[in-house]
Amino acid sequence: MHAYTESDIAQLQFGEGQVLYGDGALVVLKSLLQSGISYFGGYPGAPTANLIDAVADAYEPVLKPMGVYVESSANEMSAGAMMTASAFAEIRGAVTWKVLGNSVASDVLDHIAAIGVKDGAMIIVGEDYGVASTSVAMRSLPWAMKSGMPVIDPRGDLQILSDMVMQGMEMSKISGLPVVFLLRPQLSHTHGFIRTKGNRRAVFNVKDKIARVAKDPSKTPLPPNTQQHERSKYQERLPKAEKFLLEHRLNERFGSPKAKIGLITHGFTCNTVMRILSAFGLANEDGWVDERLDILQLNVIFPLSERQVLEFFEGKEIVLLVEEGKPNLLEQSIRSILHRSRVPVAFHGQDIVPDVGELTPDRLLPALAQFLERALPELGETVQRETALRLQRKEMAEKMLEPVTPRVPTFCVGCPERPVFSQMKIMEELSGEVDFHAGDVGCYGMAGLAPFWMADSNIGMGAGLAAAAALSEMTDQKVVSVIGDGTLWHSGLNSSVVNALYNNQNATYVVLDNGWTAMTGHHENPTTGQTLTGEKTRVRMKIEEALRGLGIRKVEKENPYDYRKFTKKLKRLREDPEGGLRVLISEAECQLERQRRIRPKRQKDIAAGKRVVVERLGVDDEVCVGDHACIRFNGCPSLTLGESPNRLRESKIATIDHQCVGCGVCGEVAQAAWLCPSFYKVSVVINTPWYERIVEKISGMFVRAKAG
Amino acid sequence: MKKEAGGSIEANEGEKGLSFMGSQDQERPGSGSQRRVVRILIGTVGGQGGGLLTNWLVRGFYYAGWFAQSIGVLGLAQRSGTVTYYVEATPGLERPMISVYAHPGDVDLVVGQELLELGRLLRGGFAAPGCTIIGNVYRYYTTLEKMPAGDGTYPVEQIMTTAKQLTDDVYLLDAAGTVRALGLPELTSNALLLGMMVASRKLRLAPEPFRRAIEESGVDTERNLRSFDEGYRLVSQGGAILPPPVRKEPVSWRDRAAELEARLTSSGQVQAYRRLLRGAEETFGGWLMPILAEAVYRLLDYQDARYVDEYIERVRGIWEAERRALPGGEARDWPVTRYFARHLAVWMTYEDAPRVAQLKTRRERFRKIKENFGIKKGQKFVVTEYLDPDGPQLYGILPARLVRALIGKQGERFKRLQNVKFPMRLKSTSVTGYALLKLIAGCRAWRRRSYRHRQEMEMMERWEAAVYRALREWPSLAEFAAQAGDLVKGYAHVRERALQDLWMYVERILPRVARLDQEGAADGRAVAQFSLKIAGREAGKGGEALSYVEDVEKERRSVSARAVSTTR
Repeated sequence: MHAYTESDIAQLQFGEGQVLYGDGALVVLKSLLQSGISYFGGYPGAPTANLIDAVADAYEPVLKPMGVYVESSANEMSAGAMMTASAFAEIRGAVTWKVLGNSVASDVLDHIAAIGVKDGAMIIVGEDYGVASTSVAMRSLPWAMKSGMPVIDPRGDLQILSDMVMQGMEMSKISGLPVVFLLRPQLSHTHGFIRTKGNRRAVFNVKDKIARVAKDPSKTPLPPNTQQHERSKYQERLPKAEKFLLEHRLNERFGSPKAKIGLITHGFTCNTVMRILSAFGLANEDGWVDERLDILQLNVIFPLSERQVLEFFEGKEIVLLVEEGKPNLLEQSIRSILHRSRVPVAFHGQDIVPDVGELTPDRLLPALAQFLERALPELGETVQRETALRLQRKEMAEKMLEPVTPRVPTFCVGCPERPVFSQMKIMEELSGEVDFHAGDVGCYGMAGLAPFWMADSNIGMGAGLAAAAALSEMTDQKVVSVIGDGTLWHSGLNSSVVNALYNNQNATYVVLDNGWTAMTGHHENPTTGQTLTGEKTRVRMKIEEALRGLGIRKVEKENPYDYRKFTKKLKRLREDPEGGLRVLISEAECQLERQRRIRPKRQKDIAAGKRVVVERLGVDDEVCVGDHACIRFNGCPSLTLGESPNRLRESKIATIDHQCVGCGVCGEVAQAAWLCPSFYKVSVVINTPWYERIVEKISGMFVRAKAG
Repeated sequence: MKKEAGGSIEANEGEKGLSFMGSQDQERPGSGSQRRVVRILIGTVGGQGGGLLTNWLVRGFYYAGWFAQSIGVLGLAQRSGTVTYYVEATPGLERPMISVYAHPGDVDLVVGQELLELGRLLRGGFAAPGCTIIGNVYRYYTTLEKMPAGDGTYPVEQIMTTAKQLTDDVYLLDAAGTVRALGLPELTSNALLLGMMVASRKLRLAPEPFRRAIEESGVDTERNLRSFDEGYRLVSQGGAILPPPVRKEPVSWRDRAAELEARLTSSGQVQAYRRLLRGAEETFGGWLMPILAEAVYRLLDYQDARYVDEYIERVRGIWEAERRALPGGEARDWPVTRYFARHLAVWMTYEDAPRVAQLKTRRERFRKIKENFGIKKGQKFVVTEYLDPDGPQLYGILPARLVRALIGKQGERFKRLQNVKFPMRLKSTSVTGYALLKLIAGCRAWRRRSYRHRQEMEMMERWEAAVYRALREWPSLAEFAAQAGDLVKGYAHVRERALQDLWMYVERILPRVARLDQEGAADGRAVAQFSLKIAGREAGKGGEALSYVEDVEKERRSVSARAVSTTR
């Protein structure tokens, strides 16, 4: 799938001083090319999935000619392990994943950080601490700190983003440590302009190969080397990183260094603080800050330079650290520095700033106002007035409007995963037996939301079935676990399937094989049969064969759109008296991908005058009585509400809008859940051939209503 | 603003700062003429083209010589979730200090691609004083709005009123309708919104750079440009744009009756319809006619004139009882009779197999299908019906006596027959399928004698009795007994459960509410209304409604117990 246009990608070739327009991901990729990478890998996930898209789209025209090796790694651990190249040769590279991947990759990264890298290596982490996050809330800082890897958390600005990627790579080279780069969703999804520099072709790459990788037994992580690695990391390499960030002024200062009031920010909190200050007349849109204030913006949050902190605190009377989230390691580090050096200063952190969750402006505004009232009492009135003015707009609107109904995400129109949950819900409704649904991570995680509420647990990639290991033996309920093909290959096969077989787990496992890793915006995976770069894989991995290879005998395959057959198989497997692990593979391609493929072909066929049948579903507005049971078993975006032609009815009736792709699930639901006769399918024949027209004419004589 | 990361501190002090301080005396900081950055917040539904709209906007700014950037908070974008785009733009290409988030009370241009999403932004308190609000009143219902039976949609009138309260510069329009009127596809409504934004008083920019952005995107260029121009024209010519009324204005019942009359197929029916309406008007006067005009049409179409007489007789009975029980009901427009008349008409035209077959073989229905699916004359099309009759629906057509003899008075024999279903796909456009449906539709001639009809009539009487009882014993709650008739919805087991909800409500819940009311322990009407709302959410929720009432009872008991203990 192409997420970027050709002209987007062409900008990656830009040289010195040209203007590139794009999103954060494109800017990161351009900056990586400017700093001369020769490999890139990762596992897709918000908010850096678009970086993988950019790499895929840029591979043929840009990366391949430059000799950059690109892979879509099997999981984050494989991606992290690839950085070994940088440990053994002067090879620069980058990998990416979302914040949750940190934990998956931890094992290998601890090793790489210990043995060190030679020419720079960067991990672009999709840091997602926000309210719209699709994952567990957590910060990468503690994780990176425990491995001793520098962490860059840039201010919200595309140009700074670009500069920081390049500087970060240099810092990695100088310090010999892999550098963690936090790419937050807002920055990753920012569209704007930067000035570019020329790309740098790496000395070693796929085309210009290394003759032989030098042997270096000192890198083996066994005694007596391990303590050496640890010492070198903390006593030599991290100090080098600190020196680099000071020399290159990676952290920024705004306002006046002589000021008695200080503010310390990191990442986006800088932008938010500046905007709030400008509301009080203490800053403006050009980055000017009142001379009574001094701001230290940490674009690098680890290592924290003791020298820089002490320098900043010189002559300060009161300082506020605006740190987002827990654990508040910046605050703890700064407090310990101040304590050690006995700096007499009023230092505030999460005693004033909200401690848990994203620091959105509405939460930071009152906190900053509180601090300023204390630090600048002469401005107290302005601060109070401006704060009230801004917050009262919200109070006013909240008084006038009822809470707005949340718009929870849902399965796409025609999605092959919906019918699976729909059938399970119908089974439960008709039988009254409720199963324990051990969910996993993927699109199907949305089954945990309305209208299905069918992911009782959802605890981490590939671990769905394993999550119910103990429960399988401890509840009277039956255990049904659902996993997608992408997640199965990521880690489910080992963590869940092997674990279940080895421990005789009693459960039904439903594998949704739609051929793509769809959750992240469609990425190839082993089932797709091609790599990120579009190359065919030598081995076409098949889920059924893999599972049979492990020795499971009860593996069935069925088309989920056929409710009768699918439900029958699911029932049989679920009720299997022999127990053990039973698998049902739901086999149907991701509808989005399918539509992308068949729509243009259909248009072409129609234009060429070929006979084409287009199918869509409808609801009889007179037959529908408005009980909406169909919606509660289905939830398709195209199945929506309309007005009843019967004015005596107060209900809105169900109706199907133009988005319908004719998958037929509406009709299947009506029959399987024993609902109503309102649904019908219309098959329109485009370019009807002459003989069919004649048959039509004749039948029209009998079916007069149709012809009329 | 600064060329290098880690740029010098000196650049930030000095002249710029001083000039700003100088202007501070005249201007309130953070607003007024020194403010250059325009802040725009766009609320969209994932997958509906919000990304493209924002891209056009930012690109257009760039061509207009502005600095601009957009930030999308995507969540699960393509899966119909909420997606919000935040744009900051400023004349000149120098980089300002952007803010990554929209701040409360600090957005100049609030745009809703969809009405509920506009409401979400307004409730977030982002709209600055004096801002411009542009909203598409189109509704893309959320799953949670669609799930409850009946109508669970958000009261959007509130959003329109709030918009007007927050600022004097509001543009609300039906973008989809506007572009459709121009012969353009609905998807081009994003370009219409773009045109409105560019022309609005916060920007007032020339259209060309934005047209260029549309052209360069290459997405349905020609039609999007036309739509853009229309949006630009609408706002720059300053024509006040008012939203269409959310609900259709009621036409007079006589006009409506004429409309309905035209749908009747035979002249005999037309005559009967006129006669029956005249009779009804004599009996009730004009106030009930909007309901009766619909009801008489439906019943006549469903069965015959005698059936209408039965209906009128029942409604009259209730009205008399209401007059006795609640003198002065005119002032409140006879709510019991109104609800009863409305829901009885719907119930009496219950959807049995002959009714469904009748509706499915109508000329009118095929005409609608052809229109909705864009089927041209001579084009072949096949309509496949998903039918799912069960035992009771099928043997329900048979004469009551025969069925009773077969399954027993209480339905105790052949239990399996009652739970068997016959899912079938039938092509109503084929000769055989159509003929079969016509045959079933013809069964309505002896509907009155059918088993199903006897059953339905008994149940209607049970409900009617409950309404009479309510009028007798606790008249102030009687309208809820009548209103509860609306619970009866659905087919097969959904309907079974809905009926259980009805009995639960009128026979168990209402008497308990009445007791609470008479003891002065609770506002009976409020409790009755809320418990009816719970029961109406979905078939089978009667139990929940009952436990709500039990909770109210418990609460009252503990309150009075506490009152007793404190007096001691």
